[in-house]
Amino acid sequence: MTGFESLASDGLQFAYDKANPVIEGFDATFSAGEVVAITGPSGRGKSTLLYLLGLMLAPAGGAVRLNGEDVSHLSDRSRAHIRATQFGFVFQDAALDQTRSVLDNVLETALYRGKSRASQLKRATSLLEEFGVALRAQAKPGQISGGQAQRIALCRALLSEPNVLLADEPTGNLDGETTALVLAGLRSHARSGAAVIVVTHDPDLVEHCDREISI
Amino acid sequence: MTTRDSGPSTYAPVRISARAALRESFASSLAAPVVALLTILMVAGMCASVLLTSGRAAGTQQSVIASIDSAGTRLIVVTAKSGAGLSPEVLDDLGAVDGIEWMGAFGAASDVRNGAFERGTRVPMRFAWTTDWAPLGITGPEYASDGVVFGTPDTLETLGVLNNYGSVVDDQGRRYSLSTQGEMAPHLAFLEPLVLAQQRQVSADDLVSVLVIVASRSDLVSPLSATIESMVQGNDPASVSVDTSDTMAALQGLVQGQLGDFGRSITLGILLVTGGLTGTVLLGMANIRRKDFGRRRALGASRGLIISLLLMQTAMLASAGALLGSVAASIVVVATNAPLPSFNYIAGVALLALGTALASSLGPAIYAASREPIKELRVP
Repeated sequence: MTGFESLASDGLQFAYDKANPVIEGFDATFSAGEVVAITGPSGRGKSTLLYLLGLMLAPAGGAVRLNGEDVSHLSDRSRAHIRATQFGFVFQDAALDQTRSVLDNVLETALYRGKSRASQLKRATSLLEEFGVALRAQAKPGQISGGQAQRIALCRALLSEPNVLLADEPTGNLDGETTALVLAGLRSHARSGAAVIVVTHDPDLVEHCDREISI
Repeated sequence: MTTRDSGPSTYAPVRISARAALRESFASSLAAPVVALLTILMVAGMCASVLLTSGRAAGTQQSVIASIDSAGTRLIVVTAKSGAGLSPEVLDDLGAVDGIEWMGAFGAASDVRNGAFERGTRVPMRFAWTTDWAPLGITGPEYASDGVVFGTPDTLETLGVLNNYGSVVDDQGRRYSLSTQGEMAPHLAFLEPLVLAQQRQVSADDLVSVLVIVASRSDLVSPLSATIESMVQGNDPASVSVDTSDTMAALQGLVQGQLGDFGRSITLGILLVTGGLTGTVLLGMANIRRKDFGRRRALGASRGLIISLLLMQTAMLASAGALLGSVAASIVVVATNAPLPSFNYIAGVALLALGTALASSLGPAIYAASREPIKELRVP
């Protein structure tokens, strides 16, 4: 085992159709301990870039390197393993399972990492308390607000203490006070030695990031 | 800042406990109650339909075959005229032939009457040789003493012997003690009324006039009768005749074949239709839940895990459906006094329904596992 150092994109290319490439030769390094904002106008491929870095899409060219190792061309099973064990995701609309309780949603990734529910319960509860949604643990996502849903999505992403946290507009539905809470959570996670990559339009959030990459 | 572990440098598959997978499958079933109920009902319907159609046919088949396959249809009767010279030692020869359940040899008949009075009803008495006396109604552990003969209760009644004990006298005036121990096996009842004189050994002048053989299976009657015919025919083939129940054995084969074919066609049809319906419902469910599967993939669930979870979910629901359908159909069959197929048949149908449900859920499971996170999760 080696310590986590960085996630890097090396000449990353992607196109939904060959005539219109979305990402062309994107180079960047996201180091442990920093919060990086990716900004740019709508339609420039910010979310696509996040999915590429998160190994959910296979690049047409270039590579995603985890600690220098090209992981973007691994088998689907290996990429799923990395997503489960090393990455955490916060999606734009929270993407919670509407049929399960808040607590079950937070604990979802434990299954994919081969961890028992019981072993993760304490941390899940602690995260819900940290982000002020512990009282809603048994509620269904349909019974909570958009802001609460986004905080629960962040709890889910942080459950595995991922080396890389990828967040797509994590403060899009939040008021100022909650935005500060989320931002504190992101910064705290970065301080623990992870790389945090945030796609955002929110200037307040960008201001609190270590770095901004505009595409 | 602390240094974090980047995890293993090789990416071995995540090991997920069976308990966790079962819990997840159960929770997924509860999360989609309509689909779960439909799956249970369709598999239950699949089992019930098969059991109420081809299952009834199988039950009837088993019942018909059982009656056709009674020992009476497996009987081979050799009748030898006095000139045939058939010795009871033929039983020793037949002992080496496979496929014989029982055999007995009977000598020529000589009439006897009740020893207590003259001009009573006359009944044939025969010497008998066999290694198994029970089918003839003689259940005692040892051979009777000389001068003791046996008859069934019916034979004693015909002779007018009451209280299960008496005597008979033959035409030469020889007197025998007569008793009864039990009934003859139904397939040997054609020999009655008959007084039997147990014979321990074969003497040189002993001859057989009737040889009765019971084949162990009805399909062996024909080949056995050919073998026996070749063994018992002496110098004069016309003096020996071999009679069998070939027609009944052929009828058994016919019933087995035709009802079996009918049952298989019905079963296949039902399985295909309900399997298709189950697959369609599960595909619909996978399509409705595609965002859910996209999220799972994004969060690190491998395709194999999603397929396994869906198959496990189907297996749980289909097992419940198979149990429900089998029990309900069995109750209906019993309530309508129709022949119930064997437990093995019912269990086989349940397993077949489970297999069909699993096979029909494989396509939807692969569809669900191939959902791309970006397509399902991106907000336009």
